[in-house]
Amino acid sequence: MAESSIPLTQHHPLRIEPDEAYLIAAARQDLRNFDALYKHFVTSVFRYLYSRTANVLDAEDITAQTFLIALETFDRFRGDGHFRAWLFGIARNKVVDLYRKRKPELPLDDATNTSTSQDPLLSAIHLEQKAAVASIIAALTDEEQELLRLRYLAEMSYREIANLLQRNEDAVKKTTYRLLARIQSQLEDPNE
Amino acid sequence: MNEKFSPHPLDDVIRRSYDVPEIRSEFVSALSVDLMQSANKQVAKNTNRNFTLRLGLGFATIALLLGIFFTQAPAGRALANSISRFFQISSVTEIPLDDPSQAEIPTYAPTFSVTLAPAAIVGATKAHVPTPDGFTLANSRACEVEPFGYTCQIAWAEKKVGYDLKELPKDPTEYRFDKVFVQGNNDVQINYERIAGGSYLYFFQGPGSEFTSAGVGVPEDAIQSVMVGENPGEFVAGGYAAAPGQTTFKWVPDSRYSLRWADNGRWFEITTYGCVGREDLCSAEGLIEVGLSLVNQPVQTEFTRPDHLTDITEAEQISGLTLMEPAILPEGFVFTFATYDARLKEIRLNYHPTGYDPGVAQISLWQSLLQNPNKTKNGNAGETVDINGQPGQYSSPDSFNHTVVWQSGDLEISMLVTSSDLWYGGTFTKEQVLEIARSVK
Repeated sequence: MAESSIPLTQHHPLRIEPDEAYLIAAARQDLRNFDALYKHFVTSVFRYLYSRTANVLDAEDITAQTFLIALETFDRFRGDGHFRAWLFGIARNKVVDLYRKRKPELPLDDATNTSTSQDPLLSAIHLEQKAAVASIIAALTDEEQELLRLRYLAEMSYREIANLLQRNEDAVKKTTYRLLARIQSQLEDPNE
Repeated sequence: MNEKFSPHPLDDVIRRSYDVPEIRSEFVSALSVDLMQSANKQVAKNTNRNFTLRLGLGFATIALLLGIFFTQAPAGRALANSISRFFQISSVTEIPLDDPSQAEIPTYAPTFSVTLAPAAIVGATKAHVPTPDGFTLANSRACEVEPFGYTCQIAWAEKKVGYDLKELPKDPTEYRFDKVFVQGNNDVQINYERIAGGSYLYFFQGPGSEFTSAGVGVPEDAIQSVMVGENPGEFVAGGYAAAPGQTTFKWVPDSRYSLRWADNGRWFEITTYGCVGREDLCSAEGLIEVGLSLVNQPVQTEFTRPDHLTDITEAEQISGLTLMEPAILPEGFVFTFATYDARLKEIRLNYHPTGYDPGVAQISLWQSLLQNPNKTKNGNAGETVDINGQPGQYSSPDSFNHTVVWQSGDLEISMLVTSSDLWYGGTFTKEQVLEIARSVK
């Protein structure tokens, strides 16, 4: 390979807040830089997987599998795709694998209502609002729930979601806006 | 989330409603260590991987040579001395070649600077396969319609072997049918190749349950027992390969993926190389899925295949766009095919050097209607350049890979120039890439 113009070697530590393209280029140049990519994404992957499994150990297990597979197959990641969409595609497949092996122990209702909050100062209003939102989300279709998870936990852009779900970006955007409007409306009028 | 968007009042409460606990720092650290160890291992074996795994090129030739080696050379026959249920077992992981000059060890392409030239007006050429020996077109209606097509060749093979072939229900996504071979013992090999190059899928079958064309042995611990539906089978990830300049074939535990099984008096094998864009075809599960999908009568393929449009007119018809083409290309490059993504309403024109696997070098030109002609380009990091009076973004990590993004009229255009340093060797300068971009009209 010709010498790269990307100034990355073991002697050039990564920037503190690197952008994703830079991290991807760094990992392409030297797979040992994958660690920075991992640390950039691990929290959102874990949060997403926890929302799917409602179990910390399962979420950690699948997070580990996701990144190990991503590392092993990184050379097959196509540069013209979206890395986040590719990564969460792996994570989604691993969740499906988990559910194939065993039925989900917790329905989504339980998953979204599993309270691990230990913050006694959380206001009653917030608690009530949070529970109400969780309840509304639990009543959404699987597809709508997944859209919200990808948006709010996986922190994906509309373009990335569209890429992952193989849908039109505008359609994803509109569906999300409509969903938010619906949730807002149901919060304001629970009888709607 | 990279894009700018107006915060919604519910954003925060929706996030909190999932009640996700903080990720444990011990877990993050432990996984980081695992990943680093894994990365170090992969880097250590990169020498072998570079020549086989990146595109899977050259490996098929080596497998063929090894087949000859194992079946013809005394040393080879001695190595293939025991047989598992489906694969022969070899006790070695390294095979010295007594006379390397007799083997076609792959060589890397020398690096050179490409030369630009006016684009040739050449449409995509379909891979023409010689008319099968002894086969008269009058034998099949399919051959009158498309003498080099899938249906004709399958009809020819079925006539020759005397049994109804099991077939893939349709071309695998991203792949296209290449050709059919009939071997001794009435074995049939149906080849598919990735449209954009770099990956191959070979489907073999033959009468009986013994693998008459088993050929190359594999290490015993590489064999994984699997079930293909109700039938036991075996999956092997790996194969013998030699890097340029080496005088031994070494077992590389990936790059080639084979599934073998027998069903109802017939044996089957599906072997893949590369799997670019289809990682599932590099796994036991993915190949089993292909194996379970086999049919006696495949779905008729569409006349126009959106992922393989063979001329610009076809591409314009399906996209509804008046497409722009480069007037200048590197010498030897021609338009090969276009793909249309209906979801994104985006067309991609592909140009490749003739005489090469399409995966080794390409110029791809994406074109789609600007959803908002007034929007500014923000999100395409790179150097601002001028493309015929319009601002564009150019970026390049090295002389083998370049990207230019710009707008022209109501079209958004992205151009990707890539070249394999090992298998093609052509380097592009920034000026050459911009010259090509500016010639797109």
